[in-house]
Amino acid sequence: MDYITGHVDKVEHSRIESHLLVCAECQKTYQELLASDAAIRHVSTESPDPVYFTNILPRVRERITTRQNPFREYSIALSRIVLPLAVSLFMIILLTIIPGVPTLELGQTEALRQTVKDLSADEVVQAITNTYAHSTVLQNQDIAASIVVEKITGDRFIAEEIVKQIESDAVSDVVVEGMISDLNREQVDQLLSGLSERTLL
Amino acid sequence: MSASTDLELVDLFQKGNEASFNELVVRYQEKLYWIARRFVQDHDQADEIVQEVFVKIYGALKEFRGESGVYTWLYRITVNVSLNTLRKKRIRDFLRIDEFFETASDENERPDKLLEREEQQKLIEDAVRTLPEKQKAVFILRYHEELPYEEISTILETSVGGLKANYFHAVKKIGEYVNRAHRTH
Repeated sequence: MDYITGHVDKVEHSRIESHLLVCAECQKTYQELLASDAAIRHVSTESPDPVYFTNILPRVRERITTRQNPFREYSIALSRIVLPLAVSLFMIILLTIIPGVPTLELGQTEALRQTVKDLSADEVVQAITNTYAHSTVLQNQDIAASIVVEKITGDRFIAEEIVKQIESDAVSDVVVEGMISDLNREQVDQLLSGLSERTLL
Repeated sequence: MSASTDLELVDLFQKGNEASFNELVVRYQEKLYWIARRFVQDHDQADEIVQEVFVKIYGALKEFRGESGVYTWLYRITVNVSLNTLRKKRIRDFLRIDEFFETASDENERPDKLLEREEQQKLIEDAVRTLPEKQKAVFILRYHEELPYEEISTILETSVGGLKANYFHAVKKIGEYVNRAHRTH
């Protein structure tokens, strides 16, 4: 592909050029890539208004100032850490510490369901995230995930699908976004920004 | 200050010069915007990513020790935030969250007015969207940004050999996707 886009040096260019003359297979691949390149180059993404780039800095500055508000940090800590932590502690105890209980019994499953019943959606999301991080019993994790996601979505089928996603993808992303038909837009944005804050630096 | 190197700006910032951060934003905003835009293929989302990236950079700049180049670091954060945004979108789409908030799509607003060029662009965007994350990242950084493999290797923490294979497969898949779409039209 670098040959097509002109990103090889002269020696390499000559070497590939010669090879293409004698190798039918590479010639075929070359033609395919050439067609791909032509198709991609044919389109151009519309640029934003030039004024846009003059407005980024003030908006970034404004966002930084907002984030530095100490009250905001306090309220985030309270809503995202303290309350969910308390709930997750209960769930962790229920799921992993009770001796001789490798998997949840029916009554415990119901108890868990009742526990999460009165929580807000973001508390549930945080709780299951924490539970996932600490629980060592995989089957219990799945049950817990199903229950809380079911609570969040109010739909058992979707809950099962999300759990499948959890198993195959990054847990925290999926759980935090196990979102949540009864949240308003602002709450959704809050959850999403919470997730962004964990993005790797 | 505009003649300062990136590292000098970082150094100034770490010594308390806030204006040097502004210089970094102005210097890289367009580059980072286009990386994000290639990933998410949407202006508003790209704008959100760019702002978030700079906010993260502001928070982390004091700890930057120069293990990698400044722009490599900026690109890496942008790629990470972009991929994270795509993951969220995937889940949101899966849960049909946007149906609760959006009332009409652009296509509904003008179903008969899509030009051929726009269709072709959408086709390419769709093709890129189907790529696995790593292939997508390599494709954007190599094809569009024309970064050297060594830089991409640092940004994505992947061997150069692996990147070249990813790049090849990405372009091939885009071509195949476009061909398939044309055959079914």
